This record gives sequence, C-alpha cells and structure tokens, in this order.
Amino acid sequence: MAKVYGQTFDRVHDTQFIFRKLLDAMASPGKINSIQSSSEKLDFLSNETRMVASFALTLLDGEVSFAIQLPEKMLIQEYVQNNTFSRLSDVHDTDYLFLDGKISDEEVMSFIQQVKKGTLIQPESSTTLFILVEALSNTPSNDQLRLSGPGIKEEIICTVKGISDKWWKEREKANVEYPLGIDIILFTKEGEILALPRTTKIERGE
Amino acid sequence: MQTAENRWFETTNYNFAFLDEGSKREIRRKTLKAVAIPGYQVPFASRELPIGRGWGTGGLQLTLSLIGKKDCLKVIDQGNDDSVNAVSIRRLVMETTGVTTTEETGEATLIQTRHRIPEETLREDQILILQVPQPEPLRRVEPSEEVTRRQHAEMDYSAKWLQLYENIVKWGNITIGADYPVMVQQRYLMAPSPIPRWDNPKIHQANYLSLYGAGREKKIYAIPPYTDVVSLHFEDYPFEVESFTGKACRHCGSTHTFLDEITDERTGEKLYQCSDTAYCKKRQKEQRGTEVSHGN
Repeated sequence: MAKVYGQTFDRVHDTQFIFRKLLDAMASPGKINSIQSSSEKLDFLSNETRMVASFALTLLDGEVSFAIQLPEKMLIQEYVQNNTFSRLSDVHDTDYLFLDGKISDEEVMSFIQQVKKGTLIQPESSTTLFILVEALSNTPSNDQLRLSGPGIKEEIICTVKGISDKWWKEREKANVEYPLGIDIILFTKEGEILALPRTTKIERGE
Repeated sequence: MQTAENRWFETTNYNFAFLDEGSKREIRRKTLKAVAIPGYQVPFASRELPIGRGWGTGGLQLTLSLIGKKDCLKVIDQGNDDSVNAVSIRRLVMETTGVTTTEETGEATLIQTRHRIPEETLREDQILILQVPQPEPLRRVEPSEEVTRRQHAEMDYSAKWLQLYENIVKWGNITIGADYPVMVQQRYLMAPSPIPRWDNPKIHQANYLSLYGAGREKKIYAIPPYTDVVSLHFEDYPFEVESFTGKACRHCGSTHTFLDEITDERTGEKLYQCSDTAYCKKRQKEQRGTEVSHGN
C-alpha cells in the first residue's frame, strides 16, 4: 500500500486491530468503539473514505462482493477493487453494502428491501450494512434509541445523529423473521463504530 | 539437526499467527456472522494446520485469526495448562506470533480451552475460545447433515427431546454427561462442546464472549455476552450439575469446584482434585499466604 505521510497502515496488524473492534462491537451492540488509531494511517484518503477502506481491507477479498452508495463513490469503489480484489456487485446481491445515513426515505426503503436477508437454511448469507452517520453517543436525548437483546445487559441507550427514523422502521421489517435479517454497523468519519446485529431490538424514545 | 532441546521455528518464514491473511479474513467474516446469530453454526473453510484435524484446530484457527501483538494467551486442556495438547497449541501460537502467554486466568485476554470453562469468573474484555469435536447437537439422533440443517432451520428439535425422554424411560434419568445440549436465546439448539454439565450454567448470561470452533466439522458458532443459554430439561426432571457432596480437592481442599476422580494405584483409594489446575494452584498459594492477583 502507498505510504504518504506518518505511519504505514499495516495489513496484518491494523486489520487485526480493526477486526477485534468490530467483533467487540458486534458482541456488545450499542457499545461505541474507535478504530481511528488505525484508520488515520490511510491519510491519503478523505475521512469517510478511509473508514470504508479500513473495513474493506479487514473483511473484503475476492471471495465476497461489495456495493457503495456514498458521496465519493467512484473513488472508493476503485480503491476497494484495486486493494482487495473484491467483486463490485448490485445492491440486491451484495455481501457488504456501504451507505450514507442521509439518503432519502425512498432510497432507504428501496435498499433495505433489496438486500439479502439470508435463508432459513443459511441465515448467514445476508448483507452486512456499513452506514455513515454524523455522530454516535451513549448519552440520552430526545431521539435516543433504547437497545436490548443478546450482548446487552438489560438495556443500553444510544443517540445517533445523521440518520432518519425510516432506517429503524425498515430495519425492523427486514429482521421480523429471525434468524433472517441484516446486520448493521454504524460509523462516523471520526473513526467510531457501533454495531446493530439482527438480534438487537430497537425502541424509540424514553 | 533439530533435537527436542534446540527445537526452533524460523518465524520469518511464517505469516504472523501462521495463517495467511486470506484465511484469517474468511474466519473473521464468519465469526462476525456467528456472533450476530447466537448458537447458529456458520460453515467455514477450515484450513490445514500443523496439527491434525480433531486436535483443536477449530479453536486454534479462531485463536490465530483473533490474536494480536498486545494479547496474552492461556491454553487449557480439561482444565489443565500442562497437558500435551495445551502445550503444543500454546507453543505453536507463541512461536508464530511472539505474544505473551500465561497460566493465570485473570491475566489472559484470550483463553483457548478444551472441555472446561475456567472456575474463575471471566471479565467482559476476555474472550473464551472452545475447541469443539462435534458441533452438531442433533448428530446422535440424525446422521445426515442436510437433514440437521433443515431441522435447525425449522427449529424441529423433537428428536433430541425424544432422546432425553427415552433416557428417562430406560434409566430413570437423563444420562447425558458432558456436552449437554443447550437452547440459545430460545431459538437454536447448541452443543456447548464436551464441557461437564457443571460448566453449563456459567454460559447463561455470561459477561464475556464465547467462540466455538470445530476444525474437522468446519463450523464456527458463538455466544455473545448476556445471552440466554438454557440446558434442556423437563418440568419434572430438572437439569442437574454433577454433585461432589462430601468430597474435596486433595491439594487445596476446595468443595466448590469441578473435581477429577483419580485412583491411587497402590491402595486403590479414590482421590479427588480440582480439574482447573491454575485455580487450584492459586488457592494453594493463597493458603500459604503468598500474595496473588485476585480475579473474582
């Protein structure tokens, strides 16, 4: 990988670090982890792009496919293809989908309806969504989310900025027939991540 | 010529943690899926390792794909840090990563284990990796993988319940010793690996992540923290753990741990000792008044 300034992103150790943060996030939904110390090493890319690149270098290769719907779409697509050899695919049959939380309600509905939810025999053959949001916190607010389910001791509160309510409604529909469903990882350009596996129940408000 | 005394590995000839990055990525993708669907067995490729399949390769592949420079590893086999299998696995990981290892449960970040869960309560930041010989809880009642996959899909576990019922009719009790089946989050029937029944209650609402790897059978599954894990039982035949009433460890005097029974060959006398040797040693040290670090 090209190195411009500062430390080089290490494909062995930085991806290991990112994976462990992802695993910890997935095992504890609602918990906010940071991968900034690794992602910032990809300093020749923009903040949003380096987050996508970090996930891609950690999880993607020629065995899986991806799709991107983000502002710098063409640039990221090219980077991911060149650096992971992962297959670019359509939203309806992709393994990993990178999205902007700020897309319109119609697009949210369309994307979530299209993506793979797995089958009863193979519930793991579903799409994992990585969604860019503005801010993540565990502080209470008027539009807080109350999360419960496996990985959460009773309940955890989180506030997500830069994502519409439509997402949670559509997610609930997609996850109605457990074990079918979609797993979501929210991320900010500052390097924070928060996971919402299909088992997590989301309730709005107080 | 290498002898037992000067044996070495040319670590630069290996990738960090032995596995190539492609293999690690595949295991990592499958591990994330496994955590998202607690108790469901995710198929994975299961790479060749310098250890025979069925000798802990599933657990080992999980360990190798998880481990980083800052980790501290503990490996136990039936509760014992010093058994041949545990030593071989620990040495392989040490020589291909250079990470530190420990026998202290509290010091480890990753604990790979065969057939036991440590007596000490683990912390939230620790990960327990279990080696699994047979991941399919329905295999004894249904030989076909195609059929068992469908039974899991349909949550059709009647054959397993029938096995338990037949146990009661024939023997007056459920006779499954180790690897006692559990129901995960009211959805998936799961084999907890051949841990004694004693360890089953520890998995229910545990505060740490457990990962299960079956190398020969090519499956990965997981129990995230704070997940319901209920051992199968009938209303009138409740689940029971092994009883050690009136017995105590011959080394540390413990009456609250899982005990191994051994026989003194000369006298024929039955002796008992803690199966978790690290915990037993810690208690012995405490009794001698030496300062030791406290877990829980």
